[in-house]
Amino acid sequence: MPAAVVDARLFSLAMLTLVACSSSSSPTMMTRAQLLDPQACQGCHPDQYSQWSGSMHAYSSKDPVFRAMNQRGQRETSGQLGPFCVKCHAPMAVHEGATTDGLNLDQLPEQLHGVTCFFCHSVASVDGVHNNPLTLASDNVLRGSFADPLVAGRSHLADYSALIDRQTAASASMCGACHDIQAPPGGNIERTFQEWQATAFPAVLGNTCAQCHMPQSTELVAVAKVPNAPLRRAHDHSSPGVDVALTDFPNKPEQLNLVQASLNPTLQTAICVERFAGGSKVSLIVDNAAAGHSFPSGSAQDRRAWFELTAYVASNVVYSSGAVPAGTPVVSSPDPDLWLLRDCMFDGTGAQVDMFWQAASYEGNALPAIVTFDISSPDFYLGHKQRYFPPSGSPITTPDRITLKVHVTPIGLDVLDDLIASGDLDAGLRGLMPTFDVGDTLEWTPDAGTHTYVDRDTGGLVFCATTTSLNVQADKFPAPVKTHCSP
Amino acid sequence: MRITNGTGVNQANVVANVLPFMPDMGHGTSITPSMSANSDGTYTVQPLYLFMAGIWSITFTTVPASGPSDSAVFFFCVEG
Repeated sequence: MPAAVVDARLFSLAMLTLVACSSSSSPTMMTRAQLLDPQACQGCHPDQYSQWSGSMHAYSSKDPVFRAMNQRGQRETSGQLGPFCVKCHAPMAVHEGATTDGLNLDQLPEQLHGVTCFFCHSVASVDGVHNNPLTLASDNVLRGSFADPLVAGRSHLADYSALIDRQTAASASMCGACHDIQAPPGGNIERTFQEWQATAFPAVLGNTCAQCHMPQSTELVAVAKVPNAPLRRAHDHSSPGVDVALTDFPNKPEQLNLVQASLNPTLQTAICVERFAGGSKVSLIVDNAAAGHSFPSGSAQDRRAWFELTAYVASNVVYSSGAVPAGTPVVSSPDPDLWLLRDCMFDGTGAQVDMFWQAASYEGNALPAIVTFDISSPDFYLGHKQRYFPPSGSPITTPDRITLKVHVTPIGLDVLDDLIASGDLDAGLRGLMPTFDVGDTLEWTPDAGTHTYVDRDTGGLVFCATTTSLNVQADKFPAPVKTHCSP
Repeated sequence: MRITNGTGVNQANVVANVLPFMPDMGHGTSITPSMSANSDGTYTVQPLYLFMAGIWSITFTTVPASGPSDSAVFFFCVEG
């Protein structure tokens, strides 16, 4: 980059900071061009900017997997895909008329990349439920959650909006605008908002997207570094989900830690063993107790979540399922008992397809979220999913120890391999895709199997180990099974 | 945390189970906290990861070597 360009940018940033944080009694109001640039926000909102700059909202248009899918999708649809991807991955670039397909993002200025401050804080209305049906205001008023925004000394107009207020269900509809995606052929490939709507969380006592993904500070702080700023609860703009940056990007270690911290409390699990027919029936009970949506969610057609269960007698493995060598796509596992959570997509003829622009329908087996907070409701334990290993329920050699690990890969290695093979993704990124463990390894031993229930089919006593408060005596329902999907 | 007897004297070597729970939502957390003794007679309970906004109850149930158990419940409101 020429030095003159660098100098100009630094000068510009310095000016913006001065504009934004002037302590004079008559600060200069920022222009729309200035408001568009997240770096202009940094001057007065450095914490929020820093958090956002490492978030997937900031990364959304840099993400090489997005770039690869969009590039391939445009090619394979002869451009019919149009702004489908970039409407959510770089919405300001589309709004400003700077792109129609996202293929020219490298030529666009930084302030049009990602899901920016201006974009979210300018939303005037939500006019649909998926594929970014958001209308932006043209009044240069930045919306927020505070009913009494600071007036004196500020350098931009501000107002309250329920769409930004985490206490209102309306705020979820704004998040849902891009976290709910219907593919051009009609397949509902991402349903996070729909999933949340079907849970107990939109109701009283429930939680919105931001209440989990944008936790607020426990202390009152100045959310703007300006003189006499009122003290508020600050909202973290890191917004962790499960995706992470593969390439160099700010705050990568922090994002990884935040994702891990979000995943850890999500599932409640139990390993259960029943002596039967000279051996033991082994099952898992899993409850998606904490997510306000299914597990996994988002681009569930790309997610790969699975259960690794290993049974031992002394140090000998007598049964194993879900053990996948590092670097191997889980979908290539020959394991007939594999419990893999993923969506499959189908085209208009019902044939299974791999890419979303072909998807007319889908089949999934994600773990649903809690649908009622009423413990007396027969639906309260609908989320308790039980799966036998092997799935037939046949007994295995009675073990003296069983371990369970739950894994999730944000984008499956098979998906990356497909994009590498088509020449759309750098093969060097494959090894950078993490696989997270969801919570700690759970271990069953006869001593740890202290939670019991009676098997209604056999009348036998079942001994379960859980460290996650799962009520094994409560109703249990068979885990969702895919019937048209392989694997 | 400090655990005392009826006259306010610190109690050492107390073993207790700690159960975070959301009574309004009917579920707990998969992050299991534990309690450890400090040299000054107090106890540290960690990790207490109250990840969701709402009312949390934290129930401490003592596990005595002999004799009856006892419990105490503290309520916290995690603001959304």
